[in-house]
Amino acid sequence: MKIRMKYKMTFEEADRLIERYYEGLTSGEEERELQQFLSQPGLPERYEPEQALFGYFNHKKEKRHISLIPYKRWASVAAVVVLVLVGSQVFFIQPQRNYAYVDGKKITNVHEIKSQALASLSDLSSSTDEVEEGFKNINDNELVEQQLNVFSGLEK
Amino acid sequence: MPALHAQNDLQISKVFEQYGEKRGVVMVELTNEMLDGYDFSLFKSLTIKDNPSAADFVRKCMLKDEVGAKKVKQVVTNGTPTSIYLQLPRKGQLYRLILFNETFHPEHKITLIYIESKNDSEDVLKLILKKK
Amino acid sequence: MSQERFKAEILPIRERLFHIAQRILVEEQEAEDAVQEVLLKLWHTRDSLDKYDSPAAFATTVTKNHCLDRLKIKNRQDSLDESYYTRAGTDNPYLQLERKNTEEILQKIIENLPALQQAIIKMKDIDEYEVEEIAEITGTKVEAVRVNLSRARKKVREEYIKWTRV
Repeated sequence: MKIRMKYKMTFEEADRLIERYYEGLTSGEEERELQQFLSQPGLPERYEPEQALFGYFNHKKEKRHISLIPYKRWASVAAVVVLVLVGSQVFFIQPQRNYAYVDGKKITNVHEIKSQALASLSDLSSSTDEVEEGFKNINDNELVEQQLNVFSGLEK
Repeated sequence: MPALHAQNDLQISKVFEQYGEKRGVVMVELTNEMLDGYDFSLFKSLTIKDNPSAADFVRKCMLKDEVGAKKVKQVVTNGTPTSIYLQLPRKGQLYRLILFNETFHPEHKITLIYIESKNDSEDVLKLILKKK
Repeated sequence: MSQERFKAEILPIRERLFHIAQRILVEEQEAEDAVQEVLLKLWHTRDSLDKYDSPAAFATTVTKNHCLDRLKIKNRQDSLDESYYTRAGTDNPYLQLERKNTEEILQKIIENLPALQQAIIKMKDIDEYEVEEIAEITGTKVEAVRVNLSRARKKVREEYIKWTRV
């Protein structure tokens, strides 16, 4: 029976790796080893910044493809939601929300959705010819009020 | 129907909820997409045709959401604001805008757009208001 | 859009994108940084690039807009316009750092790194790309990526210590 000795990094080795880390020279594998080292309890105080940093990145890695959404909102999401177990925590995978509804019918083709988005933007701007003038004042957040003569069709 | 994700505090989220999937309505939601070369963290739009009572509802919601916001633009037609652009307080790094427009010709149409962006409102508005 | 298509369609126009960037930003190094940021941006949204008739044309639009944004930020920082700074006073990211926990502090620090450094440190330390891969996507040499990564990491450490040793 083979007994595997768990490799424990020395402070010297860790210090060297940390120096290389800050030079951008460490590989993914070396960084994983560093992460292991830094997750030990009872390390000298001088490792605190690295512990914080690696801990932060580690946490972000775990959250990468999944997003936590509160149960209540999850229950109202119509799209398919998948339950994932990571360690002892449960995450719900939330699909990326790109969709359009036209007359109540759902569209999921991103190209079409974007066309609809652009159309709504042009709906907004099509009736504002005096836009340029108002826009120049935006930095000052001035309220611009303009009177338009509406061509109501009733006027001849 | 999913609510506006970080913006449960806004009244206009009710507008999206109530009208989004109705007939005569086009609703769009895009997250973390680029539109016309600009980044948007969140883009939600609603176009409602032939529904004057919806317009009243939207305006009521906007009056509430206006509190604490900056009105960066307003166009008044015959005494009624027909375009209202609001710049909401930032949420962390994100700039937020509400854009509203109501036209009566050739048909009655309401456009309501909610945008969250890392880019300055000014740039977002440039995109929106550029000449075609 | 697949990795291969990205490399085949977007990377070849890198020089064109650089010229656009340089026209707007003037300084060569800035233009270079901007192009890398744009390529990383496009890489992260490559799934929706297929929807454009001409991904290359879209890439030039993104480049133009990105550089204009950069220019705007740069001009604000250079200008002596007081109003920007007073308005930004409440938005000052570092003022909000006190009373935050470690995670929030690091989040803020990283978000306030220069755009390219931020993009690279996230790709390496969160998305776990190798430096060689990042160099390929941005069309640069490994050394260039390494330098930015090193700067980013050192800056994060420096800021972290500054904000936690009160």
